[in-house]
Amino acid sequence: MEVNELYSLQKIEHIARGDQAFLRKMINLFLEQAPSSVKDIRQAYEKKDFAAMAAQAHRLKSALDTMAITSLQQDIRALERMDHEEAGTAEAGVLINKLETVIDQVVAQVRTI
Amino acid sequence: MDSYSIFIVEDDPWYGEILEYHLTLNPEYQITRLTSGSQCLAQLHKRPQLITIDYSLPDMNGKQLLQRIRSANPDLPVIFISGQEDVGTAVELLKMGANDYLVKDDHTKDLLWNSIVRIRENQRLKQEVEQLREELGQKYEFEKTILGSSAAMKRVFAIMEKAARTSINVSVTGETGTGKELVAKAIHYNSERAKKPFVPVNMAAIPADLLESELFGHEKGAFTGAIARKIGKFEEAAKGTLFLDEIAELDLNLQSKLLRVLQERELVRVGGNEKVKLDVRLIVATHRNLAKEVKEGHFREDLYYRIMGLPVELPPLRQRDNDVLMLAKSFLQEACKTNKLGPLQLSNSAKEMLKQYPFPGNVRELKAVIELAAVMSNGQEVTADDLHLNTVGGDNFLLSDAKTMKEYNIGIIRHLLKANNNNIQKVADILDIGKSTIYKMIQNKEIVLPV
Repeated sequence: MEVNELYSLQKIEHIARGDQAFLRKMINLFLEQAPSSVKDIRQAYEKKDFAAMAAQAHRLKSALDTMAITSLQQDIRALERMDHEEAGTAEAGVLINKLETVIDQVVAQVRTI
Repeated sequence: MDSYSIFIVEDDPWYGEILEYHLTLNPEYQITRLTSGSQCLAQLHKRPQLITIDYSLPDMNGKQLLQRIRSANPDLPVIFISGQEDVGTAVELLKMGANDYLVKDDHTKDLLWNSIVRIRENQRLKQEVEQLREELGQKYEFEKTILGSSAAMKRVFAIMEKAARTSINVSVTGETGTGKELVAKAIHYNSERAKKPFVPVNMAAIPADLLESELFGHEKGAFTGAIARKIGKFEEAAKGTLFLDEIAELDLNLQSKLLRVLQERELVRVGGNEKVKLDVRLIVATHRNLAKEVKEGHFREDLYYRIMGLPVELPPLRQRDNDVLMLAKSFLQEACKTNKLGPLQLSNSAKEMLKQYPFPGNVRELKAVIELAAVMSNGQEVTADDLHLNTVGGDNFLLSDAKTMKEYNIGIIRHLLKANNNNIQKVADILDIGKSTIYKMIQNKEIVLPV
């Protein structure tokens, strides 16, 4: 079992029930999807397309939950729920910065598996 | 292995992958992954057996998608999987016909698994019920249900067909044992209401003080012992047919309640206030002469006209010409099959005896006589000796129908011959007639002596 403070593979390993091919597929999917979703969130924020931002946050949420990236679980939900007014504030920018940083770190670590 | 086609509509590839992987642990499940509502709608022609939908899709929300799925296929099971727990949305979706609403968390995949198992079991049961209904419908095809080629029965079939084509109330009259319930069932299962319940109630079999709650239901606490709400027979028969047998036995108090329900097309359960709308086809039956009951003040005239509708009058068996033999052969075959006997035929003497006997108990009596005869028979034939016809009613059958004097004479002589072990001299002495009179009747085959 791979555990560290940024993420955990425990849940996905439980789902895989020892199926290494599935585990590898999911890891690759995370490496492919997570950075791209974060990028889409950033772009939507900058274009002030907050509906698209919320939709991207919604899509990313389950991957963060399953990978047990606990430091982002509240933040991704906050981004998903932000209304137009809230999304225009500095808070959204701070949350996205944090999202980018943590995801970069997790991706870097996961690549080493 | 039965394959079971499931659409997973999920725009999050990560979550879609997990759901697909988990569900394919059951090799019967054939999964199709779709990422938008419009993709799902475009693929509906592939006839999935179940759809799971992520509530928040990029092109439409769950409600919009469900509405469009329902308009294409009202019975297709749909399970929603939502990222957020929203009781209001869940209730709304379930009211719209969604089968389940699950929230994405660590337990979702197990809950989904169980939900699909439950839905499949329901689908299987529904299919089974559908199949049984179809079989039941076939079983109650007029000609298969009620055997008879006599002119009297042909008239009955013609009226039954008219009854089946409409929703008009029907009243079935006829002596006991003529098959009134069978006629009611045949009308129901050949009508547009065939897929809805047929609910029979025998008014004579339920104590008068229970009948009201039995028919109209009751609310919890309506009376001592009413520990829960009970749906009555009228509600049970919703969109189907309610068959009230022995309607003449209904007391006057309940007659007026029944009349009100039929007039208003709605009822109030005993002890309740809520008005329940009714869509029920009513078929009533009685062995009594209802018009006479009205004249004598035992039955309300207004109710009589309300329930009479299309009258189907079942003739007694003795007025059905050769139907008695057709029925006897059919019952004999059935009895042989049920009792694991070899094939049996009716002897000529048995046929003659059946034709001559008036059957005061009608088809029911004939069936019982034939079943007993099949069991009593020792050979390949059922003979007159195997037929035990002096059943309830005894000699009264001699007067049960209008006959010529000659027919009465034959009936009396036949009865006495049987009672006196076919001793012709003794019978002649009893009746104070010559032996030759009886011998002539035998010679003319007006009387058949058992061999």
